[in-house]
This record gives sequence, structure tokens and C-alpha cells, in this order.
Amino acid sequence: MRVLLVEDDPALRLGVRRALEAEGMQVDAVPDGDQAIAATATATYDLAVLDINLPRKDGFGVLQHWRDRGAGFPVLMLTARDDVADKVKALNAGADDYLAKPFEVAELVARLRALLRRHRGVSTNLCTLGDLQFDIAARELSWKGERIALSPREAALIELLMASPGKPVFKERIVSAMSSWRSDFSANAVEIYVLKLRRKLEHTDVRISTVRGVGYAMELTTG
Amino acid sequence: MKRTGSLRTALLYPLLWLWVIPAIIATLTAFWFAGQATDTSFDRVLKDDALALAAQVHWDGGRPSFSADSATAASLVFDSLSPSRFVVRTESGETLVGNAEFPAPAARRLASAKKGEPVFFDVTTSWGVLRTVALQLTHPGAPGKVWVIVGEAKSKRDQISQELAAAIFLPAACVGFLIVPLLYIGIRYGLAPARDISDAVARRSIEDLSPLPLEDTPDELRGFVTKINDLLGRLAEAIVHERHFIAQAAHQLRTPAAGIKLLAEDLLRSHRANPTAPPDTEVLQELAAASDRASHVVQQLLAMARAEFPAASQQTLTADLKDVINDEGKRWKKVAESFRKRLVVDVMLTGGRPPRATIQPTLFEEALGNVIENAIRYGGETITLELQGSENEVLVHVWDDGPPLSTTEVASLFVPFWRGESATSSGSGLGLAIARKAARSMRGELTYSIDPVRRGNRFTFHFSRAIDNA
Repeated sequence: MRVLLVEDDPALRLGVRRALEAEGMQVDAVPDGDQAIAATATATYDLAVLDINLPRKDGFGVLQHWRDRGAGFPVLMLTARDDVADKVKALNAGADDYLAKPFEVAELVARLRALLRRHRGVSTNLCTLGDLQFDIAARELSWKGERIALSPREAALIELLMASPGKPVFKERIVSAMSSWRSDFSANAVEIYVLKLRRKLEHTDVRISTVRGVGYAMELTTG
Repeated sequence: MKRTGSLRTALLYPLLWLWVIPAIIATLTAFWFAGQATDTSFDRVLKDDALALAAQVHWDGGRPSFSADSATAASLVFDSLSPSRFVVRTESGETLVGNAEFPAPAARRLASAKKGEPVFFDVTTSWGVLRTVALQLTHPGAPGKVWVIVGEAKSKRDQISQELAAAIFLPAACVGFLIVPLLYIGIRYGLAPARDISDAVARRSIEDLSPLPLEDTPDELRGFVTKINDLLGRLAEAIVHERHFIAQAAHQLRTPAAGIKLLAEDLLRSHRANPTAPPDTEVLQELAAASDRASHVVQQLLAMARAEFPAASQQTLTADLKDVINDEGKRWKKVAESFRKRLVVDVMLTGGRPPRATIQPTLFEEALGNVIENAIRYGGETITLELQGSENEVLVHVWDDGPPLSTTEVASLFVPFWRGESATSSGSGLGLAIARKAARSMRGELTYSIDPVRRGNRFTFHFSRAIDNA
């Protein structure tokens, strides 16, 4: 999951970025509205965390810009103000959620996951394919109740593939979702992680198949 | 604190004394006059008795005699209320009729009596104290005189006196007992509007600072209530201002607090995951920077409060601003260099008079520092600190050669917590607001203008020129 973080306070920007990265998210962090607009012009994001009080172009202006251009990714707005008028203004401007500073990282992460679930049209953090289950919140993969250990990158790849079981996921989408400006993720790296996952899933009834010219799909071997 | 007591008591006691003292004087006077009138009446009756006895004295060849017997004489002076004694006696001491043992009046009393005029006096006898009248009788050609003396016991007069006292003092006392509660009730009724106002204030919640109603307020209390309403209005304004400031201050502190919290949690999380690994340098550096920024915001908030309500202990003095400008120029030159900018100090004085103004040095240095720092952070490459003296004013300009601010920016420039488009995250948006408040608290002003010749941004402190005593 690739997240765009727009926050002008350097400490908060670093703190949120590291907290989200610890949760297996790829985070691009920018300090102002102009850079936020520039970032979405060159990359695809699953989510955005947007501060309201930003230099140059404030959060409302950035959100307006995105929505005017049809960007539909969920946006959680952060602000130091917690009065109702600001919340209403943010939600009316097209924000999907709102969080007042200071906040708990756990709450921010839970809200981001909830936004993503709502965006994908699912109601649970559990992705299931046959006897294979992936808990998005706990970052845990299990088969018939038995845990399969995953690295953060592997968990991120599984999350992408199990979001739409049986359907192919474009390789470019995987590369984009698992990259950030700080750690570029190449197509070759995708292949390596697919190989690692295939080994870990050998004993299960689930496989990662290659869809030539497209990407990868996760499906049941029995199907 | 001295307790002044209730207004009701303060009104009741003077009013009570105002009634009691005249009432006592009036009743005593009435009693005295009534007593005098009674005494006069009784004396007249006594005199009539003496005259009745005198009518019975006959002169035969110059020798006095009493024509009636003792019983008739006694009947002439009979009084049913008090026993009477009498004597008709010649000058030589011969008793013509009556009680021979009736003591002769003192010679001085008799000597003062004019012929034929009765003399009244009290005399102590074996029958007690008698009110006495003595009447001197003479006859033409007769050598001697005759004294007719009649006395009556004073019991009658004492009894009348007691009856008069009862008739005068008792009703007065009764009215007195009635007057006290009437006065109390009257005062209570008169003070009811004041009590209503007091109750209306007491019933209010701490949040309710709306004005008290004036419709039913009596004229005497209208001014008082108007003053209270003025005070309530000022109080409400101050509270709104204070709440706004606190909300803004809380808002300003939330961002650095949130950042510090997240970074501290990050360090804890890393330490728990790997206790032997050194802490992340980037996180530590940012944590230190965030603490500095939070500390700066707190200092600015305190400076704002100081500028708004300068401490009485702040020293106010008349100073030569040239010295202050030179010192501040030196201090901020290094900061400007760290931003790769240039700070120039220029003193333009006319008339040779020293540019003296009345300032609070610490407050002025803080205000000037804020404006210079603002110019260094957001202004052009060159910042000029200028001192200009005119006939009545001393002006301190902080000019930078950056692009002039937009009209929108100028409108909000001195609004607390406002931050410009180019503001950095370390700014609190308070610097210029603090500087203006500080200038005003020193009876000066801080303005912004675009330099008419050089363009750029010019902030100017205006102070009245102090009269030179030196």
C-alpha cells in the first residue's frame, strides 16, 4: 500500500512516515501543497494523509485540486484544529476521514485501513482464499490456522494479490504500490518476491500464477 | 477588610435616631409645659384660698382681727385632694386664726413680696413639704401688717404630674414601638430593587455575562447598573479574546507535540524491537529540532502575553535609540549571515538632537528582534536597520529588498497566528503581532509600508521624541 503524506512539520512528517512504514506501508512524504500535487502527477497512491494548514497551498486547496481532476483515492485530513466547523469543511471538501493532532499511531493506522477497506468495498481486515488467510491489520498469513512467516515486503505483496483473489494484478501496479521515493522497487524485485512467496505457499492449495504480459494472480490449485 | 454592614442597618439607625431624639425632646417639653400649667392653676386656687381668708380680716382702729371662726376659716381653704394648713398672723407674731405652729416663712421671701402680691414657695413642715402662698395685708393708718399664709400638701400636684407623665409618655412609647417595624418595613421595601439586582446577579451562571435589565431599575440605581453592565461587557470581551488566544495557542502547540510524541514512540518501538541497536540518528536529530520549535512557540506565546500585559516591574526609561539600534544590529548581523543575507545599520539623524524616546528596553529589543528575524527569514537578500529622527518622532525602520507583500498578506500581517505563504514550519505566526503589541504598550506604533523609492518591505516603529533634559 503506497501512501502520500503531506505535512509541513518535519517531526510529525518523519514520525508518521516511520510509523506507517513500520506497518508495512510505502510512504512518500512532502512538506507543502505544491509538492503534494506534483507527487500525485507522477505516482499512484492508495491513500493520502493530508494536513490542512500547509504553506503555499493549504490542504483544502490540494484536495480540491485532486477531486477536480478525478483522483478518487481516499484522503484522511490531519489538523491541529478540532472544531466541528473544520471537520465539516474537510468532509464537504471531499475528505474521507478526519483526525485531530495529536493522535495515536494505532488510531491513524486503523483509520487508514478502514478507509482502504471501504474504498475496496470490503468490510473486514481478513482476505481469504481457500484455507489461506491474510490479516491485513496484523500482517499475518496463515494456512489452515498455521502461521506462515513473512517479511514486510512479502506481506505487502500478499496484501496486493489477495485483495482481488483470482484476478490478475498488473506488475506496474505492484511496483508502484511497493515503491516509495526512498526505496525504489523494481520489476525484477517483484519477481524475486513472487518466487519467495511461491516457495512459502508450496505446501498449500494456493498458488501465484503468472499472467503473461499482465502480472500475477493468486488462485486455488484445485480451481 | 473592614466590614461595612448592611445598607438596611445603615439606613435604619440614623432614621431611628432621627425619630427618637426629637420624640424625647418633644415629650419632655410637653411634660414640662403641662406641669407648669398645672402648677400655675393650683397656685391660683391656693391664692384664691388666701384671698378668701384675707377677706375675713377686719381692722378696728388700726388693729387687725379675723371675723370668722376657725371652722369657717378651715372650710374656706378645704381641698378634698390634699389637706391644707393655714395661718393668719400679725407682724408681731399673734395668730389671728389657723395653725399657730405653721412656720413663718423666711424673712427674705417675705421681704421680696410686694405689698398685696402673693409669694409662692415650698416649705418643709411637720406635715411634710407644703406648697405655700403668703399674702401681706396692710390697712391705711394701721401701723402693723398681717400675713395670710396657706399651704397645701404637694401630693395632689405629684399625682397630677404622674397622670400627665402617663398621658404623654405612654402614647409616645407606643408610637415608638410601632415606628421601628414600620421604618424597617419601609426601608426593606425601598431597598427591594437593589435586592432584586443582587438576586439577578447571584442567579446567573459563570458563563452568563449578558447585561442586567434596566427597564425596572429605579433612577438612583440606574447609573450603578449601567456601570456593572459596562464591566460585564468588558469582561465578556476579555474572555472571548482570552479563549481565542488559548485556542490558537493550543492549536500552535498541537503540531510540535504530535511530532515529538510520534518520534518518541518510534524510538521506544525500535528499542523494544532491538534493545542493543543504537537509536536512529535521523529520529534523534528531528526530535531535538522539534523540541526547539515547540520551545520557540512557547516562548513566543509567553512573549505575546508579556506584550499584551507588560509587567509593572518592566523598567521604562528614556533612551537614545541609536545605541539600541547599533547593539541589535550587531546581534542580528550574525544571524543574517547564517541565512546568507546581509544586515546593514544606517542612522539618519537631522538637527543634531539625540534620538531619545521613552521605551521599555527589554520589550523593545524583543519587538525589534522579531521584526528583524521576520525580515531575515522571509525578506530579501539585504536587510537595512535604519534610525530616523524628525521634529516630533523617532522612527526605526527594518527594510528588506524582497518583493513587496500582496494586499491580502498586508491585511493579515499583524493578526496573531497568521502565517504567510512562504512561512516555514518553525514560525508561530506571532512575531509581528507581538512586535506591534509591544510597540503599542510603549505608546508607540508598528506599521508596514512599501518603501516609496527602493520598493521592498519596510516595517517602521514610531515613537514620540522625548524632550531632552540633558
